[in-house]
Amino acid sequence: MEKNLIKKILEKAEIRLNVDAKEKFQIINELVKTLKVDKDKEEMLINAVIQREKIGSTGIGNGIAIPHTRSLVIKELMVAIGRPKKPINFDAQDKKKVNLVFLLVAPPYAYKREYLILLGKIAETFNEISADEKLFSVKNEEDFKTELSKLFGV
Amino acid sequence: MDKQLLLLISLQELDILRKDRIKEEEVGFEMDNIKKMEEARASIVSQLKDHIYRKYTRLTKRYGSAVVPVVNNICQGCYLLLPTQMISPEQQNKSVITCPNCGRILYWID
Repeated sequence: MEKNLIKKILEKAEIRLNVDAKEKFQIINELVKTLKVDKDKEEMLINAVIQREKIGSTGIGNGIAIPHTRSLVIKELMVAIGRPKKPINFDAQDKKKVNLVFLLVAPPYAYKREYLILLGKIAETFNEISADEKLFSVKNEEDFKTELSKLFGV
Repeated sequence: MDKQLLLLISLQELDILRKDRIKEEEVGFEMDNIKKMEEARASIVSQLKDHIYRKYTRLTKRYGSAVVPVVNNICQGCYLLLPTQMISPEQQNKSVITCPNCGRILYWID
């Protein structure tokens, strides 16, 4: 059940490799833009993710960050994963710069479970993710998804 | 979009963040800058008209969430099919409108 859910979410996720961003709010901006929502919703999502980030960094360590929020302006969980060209300072708990960013935005009430399941899955696998050299060297989005699916065991 | 509605949505999102804090910390995130959250909340509240903030507070107390989306013309708070003559597409999200059945504040998502 959980596996199917994560598989489905990964299939729909937007992947961007070599994102040209120098700081955390810039990559959040870039990743929200990949979700292809209306301009006014895009702005609201960016503000909501940044607001969450200001309360406490979502840089969980080992070069991984998971900026996220719940927002009323979307109907379903949306995920964008970005690999920046150069590591970015995310004010992470371990002070390490970030080289992989998982952006998650979810509606406030419905689909509550899948949002938490994915957050938990990334948080529990982040050591394996950061140690996976292939994930950081693959050249295209499909190979990236395949590698990530393997790591998540889906 | 109406500025007051935009503020109400931001306020509700902040209040959700407050509620999520324990769950977030269980997953491993730190939400240590509570002062920043309270400042952001106070700033939003100061921009809201008094009667609108009072309505938000009352509805949040009663239902848990004051602002709800409208999907396919259905209020997602009480699932009432809204009367089509109630508001034209051009007027949607242009002011603070409440559901005629449950009184929640409506946000047209489409």
